[in-house]
Amino acid sequence: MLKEDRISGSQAFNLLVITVMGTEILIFPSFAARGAGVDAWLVPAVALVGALLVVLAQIRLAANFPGQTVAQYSRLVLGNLPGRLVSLAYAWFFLHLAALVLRRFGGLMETVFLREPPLVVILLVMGILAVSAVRNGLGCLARVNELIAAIVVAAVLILLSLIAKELDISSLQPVLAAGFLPLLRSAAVPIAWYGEVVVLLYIIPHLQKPERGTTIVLAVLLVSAAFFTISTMASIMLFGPDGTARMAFPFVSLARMVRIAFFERLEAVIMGIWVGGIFVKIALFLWCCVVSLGQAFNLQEYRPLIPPLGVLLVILALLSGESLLELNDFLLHSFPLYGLLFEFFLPLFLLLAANIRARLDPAFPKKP
Amino acid sequence: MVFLGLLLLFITIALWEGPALVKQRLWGELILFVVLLLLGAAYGFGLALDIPLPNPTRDRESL
Repeated sequence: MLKEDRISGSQAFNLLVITVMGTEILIFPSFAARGAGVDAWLVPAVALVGALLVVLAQIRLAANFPGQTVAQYSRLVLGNLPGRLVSLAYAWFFLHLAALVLRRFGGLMETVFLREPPLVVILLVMGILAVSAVRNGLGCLARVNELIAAIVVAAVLILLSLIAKELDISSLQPVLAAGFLPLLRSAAVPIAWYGEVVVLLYIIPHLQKPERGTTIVLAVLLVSAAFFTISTMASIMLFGPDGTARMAFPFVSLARMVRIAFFERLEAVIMGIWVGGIFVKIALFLWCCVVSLGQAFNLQEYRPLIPPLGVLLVILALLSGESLLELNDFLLHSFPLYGLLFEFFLPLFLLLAANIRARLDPAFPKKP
Repeated sequence: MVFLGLLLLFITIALWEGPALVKQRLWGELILFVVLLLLGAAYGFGLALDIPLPNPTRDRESL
């Protein structure tokens, strides 16, 4: 059931792009501006360097075990019980990630659009959507995402070009007045964001042409970095570093600035499109969670697990902070380490362990 | 009122997936299914009743 779902390289690219950019492009500028001030637009590039290291570890790991997901080869590398624990840990991680995205989505809806409905309802609706998507399998999600990703990217491009008139490059100066250190500090969280391509550990086994995995991932990172940089630049140029840092959703405010002919209130359109991207992201994380769980326990059918996990997803999302402020606080302080633990350190550890085992035992990968 | 909704939700989920699992004799899956469902139910009702529950996000912050 797992392996019949093959996805193409471009589908994988779209999935990963949505994963990285999906939520972060909305809030990236404010995070970067908080730490780096007027140099915030350099943060995506700086973070990219760190992220390359992270992703390198992930890709190497996936390349060593073609056709298998983390859950499967962690059992090979670490032994049965520790391997299953790793799978469970990843299942939890993805559930938590999905819940965080869901919570931010709920926050977005609450602050900008749907003031009336209680948060639970908003989260529940999205939860149900995600559950139904995951039930239909990765292939289906990938195909839907082809459309969604295309629309999202197009929307971002159009928006950025529409406000290009009002931008003033000199607002970006002086460059690097405060030196490199603030940049490095602000880059911590974005590195973890880039690192969310860790889902590639689960997607690569499904690729029609696994050898293209590296190219795809690198392309995703470059494209995402480019988008982040441009949108952060725009945000700083329009609102200044302090204004940007104080915003909850800089990208939404960017959208509000469009006033061409009768095209106003574009942020509603942008948000409508974005919901699609967020939906895919949540569904993808949920899928990774379910797959991890299924493989941890060697289950044949993981589909029935999806609804209860969906419920837990919503509940976890509700628990993830009473307000956006709390959520951001968590993100800023805990997420870099927490995210990198699963995105970098764990893959690195598995990689090293596999290498050591391979040296000690020439027949290593062939053992059941 | 809320409890009714929650109860309905969990019963629906159970009835939707449960019988298929039993028919196919997939006991491992069934156990996991029940565990997850009960966990969700516990937390769900706990939230509805405002019972203090362990909060993973808050616990992580203390790390």
